Amino acid sequence: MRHKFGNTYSLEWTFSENAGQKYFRYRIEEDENGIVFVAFSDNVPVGYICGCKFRHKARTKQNMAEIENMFVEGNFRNQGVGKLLIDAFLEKAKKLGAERLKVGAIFENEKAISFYQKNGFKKHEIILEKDI
Amino acid sequence: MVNIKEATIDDLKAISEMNLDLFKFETQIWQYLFIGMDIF
Repeated sequence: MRHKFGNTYSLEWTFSENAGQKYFRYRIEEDENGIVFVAFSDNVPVGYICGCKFRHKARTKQNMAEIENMFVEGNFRNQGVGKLLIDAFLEKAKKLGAERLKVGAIFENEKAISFYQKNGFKKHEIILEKDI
Repeated sequence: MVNIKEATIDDLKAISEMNLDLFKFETQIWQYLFIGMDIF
């Protein structure tokens, strides 16, 4: 199945409750560098952002934080909810010592890339892949 | 009015469900586009 995440993306981890919940549980409860926020409207969750602070000493001079995935429900898009989530993520990342923030998006997902660019991200790295 | 709150384990189910919505939503968009292209 082809979709906005490219045709190589495994949906198993998120469509499998066990794998998806295991990942989120780790980021929320066990990972001291985990960063997870939820957006509520009238006590109803309408969006979330999830990621962590990390450091690859061989690759980066700065402490990094990465937004691994985020989502805003369709009825709440284009109302600044995504920006609120990113701002909260950024503040927590700074408190954890991060100096630079990264996010990845599938090349074809122009809407997501545009959203991140509007929030100050600049294109920095291209990852190339091929089937072998 | 939207409020942002740091997630607790109580939010795990809601986050997981929204994560499912994320993939379902984007997948449906693509299916719709392909159907549209077939028609026109």
